[in-house]
Amino acid sequence: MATQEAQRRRRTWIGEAWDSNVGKKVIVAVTGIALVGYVVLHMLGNLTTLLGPGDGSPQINAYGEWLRDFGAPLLPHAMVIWVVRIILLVALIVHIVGVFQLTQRNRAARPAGYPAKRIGRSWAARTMRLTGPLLLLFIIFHILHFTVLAIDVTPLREGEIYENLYGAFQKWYFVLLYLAAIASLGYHLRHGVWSLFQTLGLDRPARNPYLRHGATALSVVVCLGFAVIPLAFFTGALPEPVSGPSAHVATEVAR
Amino acid sequence: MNFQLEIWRQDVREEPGHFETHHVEGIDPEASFLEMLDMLNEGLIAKGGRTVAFDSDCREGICGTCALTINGMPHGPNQVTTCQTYMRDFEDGSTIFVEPFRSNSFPVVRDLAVDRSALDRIIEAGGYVSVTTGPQPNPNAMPISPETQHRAMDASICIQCGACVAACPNGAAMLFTGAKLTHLNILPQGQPERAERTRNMVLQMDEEGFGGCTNYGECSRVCPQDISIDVIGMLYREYRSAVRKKPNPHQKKMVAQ
Repeated sequence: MATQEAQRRRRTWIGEAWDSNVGKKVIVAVTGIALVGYVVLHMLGNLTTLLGPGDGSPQINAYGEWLRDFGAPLLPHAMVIWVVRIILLVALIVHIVGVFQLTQRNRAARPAGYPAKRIGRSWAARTMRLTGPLLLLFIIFHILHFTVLAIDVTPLREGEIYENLYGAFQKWYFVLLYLAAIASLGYHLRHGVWSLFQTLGLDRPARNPYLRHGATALSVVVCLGFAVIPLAFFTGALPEPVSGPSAHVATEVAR
Repeated sequence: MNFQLEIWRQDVREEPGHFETHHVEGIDPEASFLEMLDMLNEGLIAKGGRTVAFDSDCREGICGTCALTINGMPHGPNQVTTCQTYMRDFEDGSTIFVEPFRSNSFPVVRDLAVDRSALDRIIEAGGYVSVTTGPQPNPNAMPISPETQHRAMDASICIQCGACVAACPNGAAMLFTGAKLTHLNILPQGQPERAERTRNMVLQMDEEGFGGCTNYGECSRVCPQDISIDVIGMLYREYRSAVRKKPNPHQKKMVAQ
């Protein structure tokens, strides 16, 4: 009886998976992989900042240019970067909508006013629904800040990545904000990365310690990789950009 | 030993319940939690009050009928069934909160007794093997490796008490469903219905209004049978492949003109 009912209702397998709690979680995990993959690549790319200002043409600026010209001359300018952006946007939307719907269902399953006693959920796991929205807010801010260049408290100029970073991270509040966001990311990944293996059914008792500690190690590495840049600029470990004529203009505008 | 009990009282499932204070005195430390409740009920009967309703059957930890949330923990502090919880585990003179299992899929019938038939309906949706019974198979016709047998048996010891649901902050029944699926899906007898069973049980689980897993692992920490969240991984794995299979592999019937 239930079988016939299930067959009648079945449209596509992806639709059925999306409708069920189990399938929706698997889809959230898959989109999580895309997002984690991007975060790791972004962190590695950022590290080119540490190569310093160069002689007026910092490595990070060349890296940014290389990303935009990826696949040239075969593909048009900035095509790959836009494809990646669209994939990430779709993954992010699916991730958030999925988690939101799951959270609604979870709240509905538990009688109001009688929350379950905490008996061993980790701090990272418990705060997933807090660090998630915080990260979303940060992502919006971060794109407005360094991609759209809309938050121009410090001078921001397109293509001059090193200068932009240097200017922004002289301000203590930007450093603090970025460090807070990195901490949220670390906690989100610590539970999220292990969770995605469990949710895809890839965890086994024998692998479990490696996957859990691996997830912790990955989040620590990602955190350190991201945090070193604002800290290096703020503490002066990374020097001022070599000022070309255009840099002077920017500083004067800021004044 | 003396205790102050804060017991959940609720006449019928539609009406809201409340905590009621009772005092029990002169309890033997070796008395089980249910025996202590029996003594409380004896006292209530003597005074002409209504007894506290609660579920119990075998009282030796194998049937999965008893189901109390004691001080917020499903089955009490010791990761055993409620009937195997003894008063020596509680501090003399302390206050003990006694509640039913909390889940919207387990409506309270009265006081501490809840209706857990939602779990039965998950079993009805696929937790069985439809084979005609006949003569026993030949001894070596259906080999099962010891590893497989251990895994299946470790999962099959689930007594369906529902503590996993009560412990889960999301009210998910994935440890239960995962245990049943692991048990049946890895044994040879379970193979013909493997994908259908998985899809139907997951479907029924959602239909009953259970929540989704967030990988806290707290279900496993209260499970009196100590079932590992490994079975939840198995549930994901099975569902992942089952949902992509064509639901009805049977060919169409051929007809003559």
